[in-house]
Amino acid sequence: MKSIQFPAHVADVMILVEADTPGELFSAALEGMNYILTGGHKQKVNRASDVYVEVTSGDRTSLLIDFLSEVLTLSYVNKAVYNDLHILKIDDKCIRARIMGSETNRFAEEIKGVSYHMANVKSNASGKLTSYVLFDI
Amino acid sequence: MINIKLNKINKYLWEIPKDPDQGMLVPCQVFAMEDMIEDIVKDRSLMQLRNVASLPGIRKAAMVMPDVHEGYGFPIGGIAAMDYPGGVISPGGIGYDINCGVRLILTEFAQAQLAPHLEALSGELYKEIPSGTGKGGRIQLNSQEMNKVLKYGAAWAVQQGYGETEDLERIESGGMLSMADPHYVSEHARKRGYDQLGTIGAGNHFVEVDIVKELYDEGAARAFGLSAGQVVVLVHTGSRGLGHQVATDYIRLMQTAMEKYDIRLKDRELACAPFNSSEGQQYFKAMCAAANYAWCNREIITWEIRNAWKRVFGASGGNLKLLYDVAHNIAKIEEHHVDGLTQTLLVHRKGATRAFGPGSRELPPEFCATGQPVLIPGSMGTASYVLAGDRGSMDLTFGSACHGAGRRMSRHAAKKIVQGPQLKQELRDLGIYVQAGSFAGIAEEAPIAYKDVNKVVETVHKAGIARKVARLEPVVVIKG
Repeated sequence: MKSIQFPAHVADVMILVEADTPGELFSAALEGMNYILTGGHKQKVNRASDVYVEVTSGDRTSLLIDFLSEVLTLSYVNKAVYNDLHILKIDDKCIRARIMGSETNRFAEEIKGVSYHMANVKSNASGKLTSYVLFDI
Repeated sequence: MINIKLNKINKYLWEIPKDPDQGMLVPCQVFAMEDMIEDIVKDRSLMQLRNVASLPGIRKAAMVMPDVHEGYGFPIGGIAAMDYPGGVISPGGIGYDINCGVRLILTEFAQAQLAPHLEALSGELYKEIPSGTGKGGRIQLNSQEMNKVLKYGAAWAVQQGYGETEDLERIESGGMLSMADPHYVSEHARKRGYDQLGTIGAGNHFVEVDIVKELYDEGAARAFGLSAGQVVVLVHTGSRGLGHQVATDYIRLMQTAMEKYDIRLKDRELACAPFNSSEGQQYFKAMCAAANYAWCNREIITWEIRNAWKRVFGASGGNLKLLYDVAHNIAKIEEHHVDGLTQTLLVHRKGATRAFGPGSRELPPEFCATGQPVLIPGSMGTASYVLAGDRGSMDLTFGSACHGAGRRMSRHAAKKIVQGPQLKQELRDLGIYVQAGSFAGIAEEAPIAYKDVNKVVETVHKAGIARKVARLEPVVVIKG
């Protein structure tokens, strides 16, 4: 099971994601990012072409941030919101996935970057994986 | 609240002493009046500032201006000058929006001439200047054109007929950093920038029509071409998706590079490399290219403003002339006087504006006596200021001043207490026409979410960093 919270941040937007598995954590973070991009509004538009994404990083925290950055770039370049994540492979340093979503002609918010600041994928006291992710708006 | 010891040096300057146990190589300096300190200590800005003081090669002090607020890695409103070329360069010390900046355009109109046409002008500006996110501009670059934009900046816009040659000398660094190398800008970044020239984006970016409400320094105002009651236009935007991607690419690269140079930091977002390393050089050349893109962007937006103005007023509208264009997210190689010697340093400004004082060789001749124009936008609906760089800035802050009001409230909190439609009407009742992409965007940018720009400006004025020249008040606000 996964959860997404939006703790306050004075200048930008932060999410706190929690999940049982790495895949769910990445899925929750993607959902949080898309919520910011769309303002929480669902758009009934054309389906975007599926995209295969492969990201390699030094550790699992960097991997989470780098994955979100890659999807954010693809969102802006392809003018699409990628709501569905199908993970083909994931470990601490690599993720390979297929992302699916819808075209859009407008984003509710402009995310300038996905920051490493305060990001730290770790297990909390309940044994769930958790991390903050800060988005520069 | 973070418990950090702040010593009062004078009415406008506070210091966190150098503490080697915290990894600090220099002290931290906070420029603020006493009644601003309570807000400053509420977020993590001072902790972030203390981390900046640990960066290899940092000189004199890690500094913040009175509009400081928490960022990521570096606080917003921060200045850090490093040894050149041996100190580090940190993309987080510039920010994702490379060369986010402000320009002020002078018109020949006074308020009374504009008043009957305010609504028409606001409509034309909103139609002419693409805003929001996801929508491209009217210019679609190909790869070769992109290389020229990245290399030549605002000069490319002028050459293509999107600007005037006289504009270039009124832009910081002539609107072009010569060390730009398009080769180091990734394909991802280029794809995000091909269709975004001439667009302002969203968030706190805007085009605003203001009235000069008060003059504080008649001589400087004259030199700047400002007069009481004059209509001026303020533009605030940056390098759009291209710059954001350059920052993302190189923050990521620096994460892995640091191990090579045995650099260990408390915050990943401070990721850096020695300026004279291959990674440092690649980033600097890409940053210069992104900065050039931003200057080109603001030049094309100026062309769009000139178009809209002409459509409303025709030939009787006169000429729109650029006063100045300043960057507030950038790293520059500059000469400064430190420890009794003139030294070349790499100055990071993240949410801080260059404010060179009188006599600076970098300034156009007409500003040599006054000091550089410094443009400080307030929040939507509040005052903005034109300042002049003062001698104190060169002594105290590596020739730097504040950049705006600084946020004091999260976007989420602002949207909870402010109703966009209501705020729009309230501003309209005050004579301010707001055209925006969404009511949520208006609420997020409500004046209540920002610090008091008057106090921020008063601090830098009284500290001798940059003196007040004019206060502006908006009558039209265009936002994404």
